[in-house]
Amino acid sequence: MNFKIFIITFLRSFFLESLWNYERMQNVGFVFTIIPFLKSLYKDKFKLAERIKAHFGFFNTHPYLANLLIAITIKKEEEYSKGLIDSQEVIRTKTMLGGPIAAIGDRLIWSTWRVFCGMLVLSYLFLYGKYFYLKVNIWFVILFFLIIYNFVGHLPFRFLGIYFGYHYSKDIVQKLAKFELQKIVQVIRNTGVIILLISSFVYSSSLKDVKLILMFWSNILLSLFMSRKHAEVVIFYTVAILNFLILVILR
Amino acid sequence: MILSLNFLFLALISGFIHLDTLVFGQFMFSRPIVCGPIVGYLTGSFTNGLLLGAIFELLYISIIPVGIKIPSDSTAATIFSVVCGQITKCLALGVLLGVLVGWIYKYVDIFLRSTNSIMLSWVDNSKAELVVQRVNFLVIYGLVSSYLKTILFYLIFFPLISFIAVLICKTLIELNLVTADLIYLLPSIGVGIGLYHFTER
Repeated sequence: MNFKIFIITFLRSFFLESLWNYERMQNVGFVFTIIPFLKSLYKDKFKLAERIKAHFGFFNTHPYLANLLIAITIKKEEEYSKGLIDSQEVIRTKTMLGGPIAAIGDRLIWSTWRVFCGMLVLSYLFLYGKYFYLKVNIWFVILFFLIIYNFVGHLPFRFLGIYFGYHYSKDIVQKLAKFELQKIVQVIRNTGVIILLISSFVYSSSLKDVKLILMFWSNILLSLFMSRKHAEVVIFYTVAILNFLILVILR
Repeated sequence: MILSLNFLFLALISGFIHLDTLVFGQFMFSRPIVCGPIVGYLTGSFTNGLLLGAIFELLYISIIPVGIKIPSDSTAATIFSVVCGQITKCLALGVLLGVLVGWIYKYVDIFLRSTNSIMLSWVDNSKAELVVQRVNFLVIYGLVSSYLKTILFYLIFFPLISFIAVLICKTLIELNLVTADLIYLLPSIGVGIGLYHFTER
């Protein structure tokens, strides 16, 4: 894979879920991403069409780590074009690795990195107290969130995913396991909890009124308790309506 | 007339923001902490947009789109809460209605995604020389159809939800006074949810 194909594949990967569907999920975006590579590999239009249709089956993984799998498939496709492996092995590799890579991505990106970035920004806001929205530079908050999230956690995964996927191929999952991702996830999560608790303490103290401070911490405990069994929407309406009634009574 | 034009303008912007949730990039422009202030800026209250964006960011912090699970839509919830909050000047009411819209949008999204499968046979049954063009077309179709469907949703629900919000506000004149304190308590719900999310194993 030359540098031009590398960059085009990277850019096209942003369209991975453009026609997400229940039947084959990310298949359209996946094929769209690898078309420039397939074109460079197969000059015959009938062979090209055959390979595109072969790859048009089910594909689903984490969108940021998908590039890893896309590059692995590209490597396998190269081997197939040289007659080293059969078509079934290319498709099998793609389908088999989708699940484990999605699991890593969901845990590392969706439920840890994205949440941590959100907590970091919110904790920063809470440090300004009850009227944080009047005191902070709003453009700074927006840019801070987007830059930290995308330039540390998002774009490097997409960009380096192609490189590592192509060079390490199927061994990449084992190499990822050696990074002890679970420990990294745990450190990020613990840091998030500490930051959020400290900033919530600062925020609640800015409410001044003791009744409001008590209600604030009661809400946290109630939401924490309800989260074990209920969806966010149920928790929100229960606690909000309860708060509303208490405030009406207190008036 | 002016209100209708404002709704149209906001629907066009909202459709663009919604592309980020799934169909293009996922750069997180659609997260409440980003889209809240942006819509707030466009509707004339940058600061309220940030306040509501922060509340929704916390509330939906643990919601993740794993596999085929489609959660309540935090973007639609935030945008509607900012618009309703701005129209009625009652931010807590905006949040209450925003959460409801986020929940409704989830089902609209499920329906819209289910229609995408129909297009797949177009490539399956294609002639060899047309396969590449058809895949490219499907990507463009995905972007454009998603954008248009979202705009349609907003054009229907903006007037409807705003009407309900104004009606509630007029009926309960006292509401603004009571909810003035409520808005500062709402972040605590998200803190609880966030703490649970990060402490569960």
